[in-house]
Amino acid sequence: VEIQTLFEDAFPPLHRYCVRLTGDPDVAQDVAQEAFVRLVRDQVQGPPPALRSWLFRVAGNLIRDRYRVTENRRRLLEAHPVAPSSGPDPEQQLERTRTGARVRAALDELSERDRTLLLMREEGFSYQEMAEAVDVKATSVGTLLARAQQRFVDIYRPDDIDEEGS
Amino acid sequence: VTAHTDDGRLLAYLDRELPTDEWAEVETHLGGCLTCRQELARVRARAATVTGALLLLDHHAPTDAAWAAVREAVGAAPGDFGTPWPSGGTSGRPDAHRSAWSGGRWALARAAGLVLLLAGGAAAAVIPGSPLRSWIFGDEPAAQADALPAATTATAAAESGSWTRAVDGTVVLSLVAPAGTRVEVRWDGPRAGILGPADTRYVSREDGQLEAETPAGPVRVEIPADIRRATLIVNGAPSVEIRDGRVTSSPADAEGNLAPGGGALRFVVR
Repeated sequence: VEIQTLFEDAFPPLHRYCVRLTGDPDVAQDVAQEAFVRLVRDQVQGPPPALRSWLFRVAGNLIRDRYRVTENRRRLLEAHPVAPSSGPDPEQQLERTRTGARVRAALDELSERDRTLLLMREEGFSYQEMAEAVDVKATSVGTLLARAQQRFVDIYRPDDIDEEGS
Repeated sequence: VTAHTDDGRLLAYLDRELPTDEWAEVETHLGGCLTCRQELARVRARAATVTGALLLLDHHAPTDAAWAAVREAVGAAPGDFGTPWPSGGTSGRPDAHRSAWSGGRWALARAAGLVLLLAGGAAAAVIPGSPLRSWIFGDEPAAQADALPAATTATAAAESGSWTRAVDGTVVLSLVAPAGTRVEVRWDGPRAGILGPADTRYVSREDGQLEAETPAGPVRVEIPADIRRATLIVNGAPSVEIRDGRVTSSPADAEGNLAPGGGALRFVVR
């Protein structure tokens, strides 16, 4: 695997994962870069999926180190509301910002394990990789994920699933 | 009577994370149990809700700036990152502190050769008859080819970044969309592309994200089949979710099927 190829493939999802975890694109960029720098400096090697797992695990640890105090994290998240990425319509932008803030708040309400599982699934990790990240059995991941999703939806859009599932 | 399947197992079923025999057991049970099929629909909707919600938090990944910063942080000289990464065996676990730089100058030469090959591949994307052109335009029926004139789609393909490093198959999502439909595809891994009719407006092009606003007509979204994850968003709402080449969420009226290795899915945007 070429280093640059690995970077091109792994950086965008790693950055996205970090943005979702921290709510701060600048911090996310710093953390994702730092994880990659450590990968290079430590000369970590292995097949691409293992390197990808390594990067996400290190980024998660870096974020935990940065935000060890919950209130500090919450304050930072509130200081960085979701910015609309596109669309000239101010009303749409406002709605997107409001909805994004609800998503942010729902994520923040989850336990660290639930949040990690939820976001790792979104990045396409296998249940085995998720199990190793949060130190549970792989056979438990489906149940834990389902509960995490339900908790998230209960906070984010309490009436949503009943409507869609009926 | 087989007991109903709980939502954790159903999610693992959707995610293709059950062992083969267990997956088949759930599949069989679902065939005869309306309650569990309804629960499966609920689990699928819930997962799609989570995916759609999280998309709202995303920002453009500043890949170029980050790449430059990483190079600077490790003191890399120009060309150093052309060195191929060692394969590291097949253990699935990275082993730190082993020499990763033993490739030396031979490795640099090999990397340079690969870069030239890729550059040639990108150029071939607009050359009629090239293998990459074949990948981009596939072997669609004549009617669709007529709807997407070659010259126009070649330009669109070039502008949309529709080229790839390696293709084991292609996932094609075909939409029939009214004018003004906003199509967005987000993906991880190799390149993807949106091919729209003439006058399609490509709103943005970023790493892992491509948006297009289309006039009325067919729109094709093409994704290498070995892609790890992709999401198709139509008019702001997640429409198709693909994980490891399999569709985990799609419109109810979608026709066709996808499997690892390729396939096609068609639906109408209303």
